[in-house]
Amino acid sequence: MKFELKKLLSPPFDDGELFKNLNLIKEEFSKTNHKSKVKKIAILGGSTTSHLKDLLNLFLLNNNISSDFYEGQFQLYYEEVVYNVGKLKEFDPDIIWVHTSWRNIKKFPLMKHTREEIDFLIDSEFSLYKRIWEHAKENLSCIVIQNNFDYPDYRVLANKDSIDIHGKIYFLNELNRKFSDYDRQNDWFNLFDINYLSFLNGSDKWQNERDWYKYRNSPSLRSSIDVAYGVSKLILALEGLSYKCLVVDLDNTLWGGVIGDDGVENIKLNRDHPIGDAYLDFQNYILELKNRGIILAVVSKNEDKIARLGFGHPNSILKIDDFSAFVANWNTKSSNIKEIIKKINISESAAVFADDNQMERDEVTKNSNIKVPDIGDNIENYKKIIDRNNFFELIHITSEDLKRPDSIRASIESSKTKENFGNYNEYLKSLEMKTEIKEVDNFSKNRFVQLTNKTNQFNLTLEKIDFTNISGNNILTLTASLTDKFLDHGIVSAIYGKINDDKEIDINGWVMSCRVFKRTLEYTIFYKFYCLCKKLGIKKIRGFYKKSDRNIIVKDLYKELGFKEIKKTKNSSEWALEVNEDLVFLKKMIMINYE
Amino acid sequence: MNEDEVVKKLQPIFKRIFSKNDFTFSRKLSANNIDEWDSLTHMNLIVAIEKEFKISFTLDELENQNDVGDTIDSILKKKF
Repeated sequence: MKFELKKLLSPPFDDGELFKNLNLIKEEFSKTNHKSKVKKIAILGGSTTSHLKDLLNLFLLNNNISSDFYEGQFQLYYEEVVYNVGKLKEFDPDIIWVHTSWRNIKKFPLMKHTREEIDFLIDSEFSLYKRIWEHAKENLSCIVIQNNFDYPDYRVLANKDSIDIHGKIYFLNELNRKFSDYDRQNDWFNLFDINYLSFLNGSDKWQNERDWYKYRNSPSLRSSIDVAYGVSKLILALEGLSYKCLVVDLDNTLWGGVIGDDGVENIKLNRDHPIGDAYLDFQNYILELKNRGIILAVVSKNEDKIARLGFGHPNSILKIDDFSAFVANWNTKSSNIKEIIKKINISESAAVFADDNQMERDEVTKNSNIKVPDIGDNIENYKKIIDRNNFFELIHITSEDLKRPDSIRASIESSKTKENFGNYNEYLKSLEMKTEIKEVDNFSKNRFVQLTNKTNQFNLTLEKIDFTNISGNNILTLTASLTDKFLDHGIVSAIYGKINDDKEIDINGWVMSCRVFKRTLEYTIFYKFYCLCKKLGIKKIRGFYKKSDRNIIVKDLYKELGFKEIKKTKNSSEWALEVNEDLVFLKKMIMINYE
Repeated sequence: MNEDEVVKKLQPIFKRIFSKNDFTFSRKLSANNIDEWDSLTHMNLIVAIEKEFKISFTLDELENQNDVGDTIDSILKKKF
């Protein structure tokens, strides 16, 4: 598609141009053949949803996800889910998005109501939504996305509206708190924060009374772009397609000035200078991203030694160790970034590049699939522009996420160590690896689901799961964590199987994080799995492989483990292993100490 | 702004939004003449026009715009 049209689908949005070209963009997308799988998305609205549907579709198509949509009847979101009105069940959605706003509150408090009556009103409103979500989960087995509430743009109680219990703002805040609590307790439930979006939009843009009375749009037509974009990012995150890595330039991106010309003592990085202050805040934002699990890297056109000096500046918030990879030379930035991405072992489409220089941004955009937001060259805008893109949307925060940046830096360092070992096995032994292999429990279940759903390379069956798939008596689930002398990697592999009545087990899913490929951990986890099967009296283990363009690495895994191929089609194969057979892979396994 | 100037800016918006359709731009043009001109596309049109002319139509004006001529008159009233 033409670059100008594609640009219209990235923030900051030019709403006039986007609406003007909406039909053209739709047509452009319809020309390309989308081979990706189809998501079935039901939008149930308390207001008109046709624009949201159109925009969401385009944002997802722009990320190679095609969708089928179901639009609920106007304001019948409760009836459709709870009483099966309409054809929602027939549509069989993967995702239900309940798009409601403050205008859909059934009953706000009146001035005459007592505290007890108001608490009752809040509870009844909440339980109405809760019934929708739980019906959706039980009867439609789908993921739920639910808006929280925005605010009306009038306050009958003026400043007291958020303070007095009769106020609408008070009421909506209480409900929003209950919605958030529910999200924290339920994995399959995803709150979508339109309250924050309305703040970003400003109420004059967000609440357009004319759009409501004329078209029944809430929020306004123009703000529906941000809403649809936000939901598309949430859906991408659910699919494991969030960005994982931020690559930054140095001069005039992380500090003011050019370090090679100005010298480290003259770069702007000090709180008593307005520009230096802004650079420090930007550095702090990046550090906060790293601390929540985003991998950082530097790509700079500089002499390596000079480039590193900047992080020795006494005020620098970012330290050289905060970056998993650091490249300073005179090659093109696109080729440097590609090199880094290979080392980190993520795909190009998982990296974001930030640079103040328009020419460098264009070079990277032209020569790669790396996402390059137009951050401009004014430091006060960098943080805002990166943040508005919602690149780093997340579903759960697991402790593995938080460790990832350090883990990747360690593994790149350990690969340097590797170069010093002639024999790979010797190298592996030198890593002093330890693993803990356990059945899934309450502590590991979020990580189990996350790892299974977002691993694309070492993934045998590509099955997406939620926690209900993997609980039950006849299910065997194991996770493996890995520690070596450099680092604790956390849980990095998961395997699960279902036992049938004939004492046979089907391995329905098996994944391993790409960070620990080639460590022979797959042999160790399978060995433990095999031993457990033996203990349970299982006679035969069946394995499955479904081919995609990214999981070729595990094509022959079952063969290596000594399985016999029993069925083969173009895109899949089925394997079996009798439990009494000798294990051929044992001699290849570096004994990783396990508990 | 005079009518010619308004038409000069308005016409490309119509051509872009209804790029698949064959029509003649005139004051008489309305949703009756273009198949693709449904309520959804109508909303696209309104946002695009408002942004182009940096104006905002009132509820009353929208209710009384039945063809392109009405839209031109609403814009002229605001841009006089």
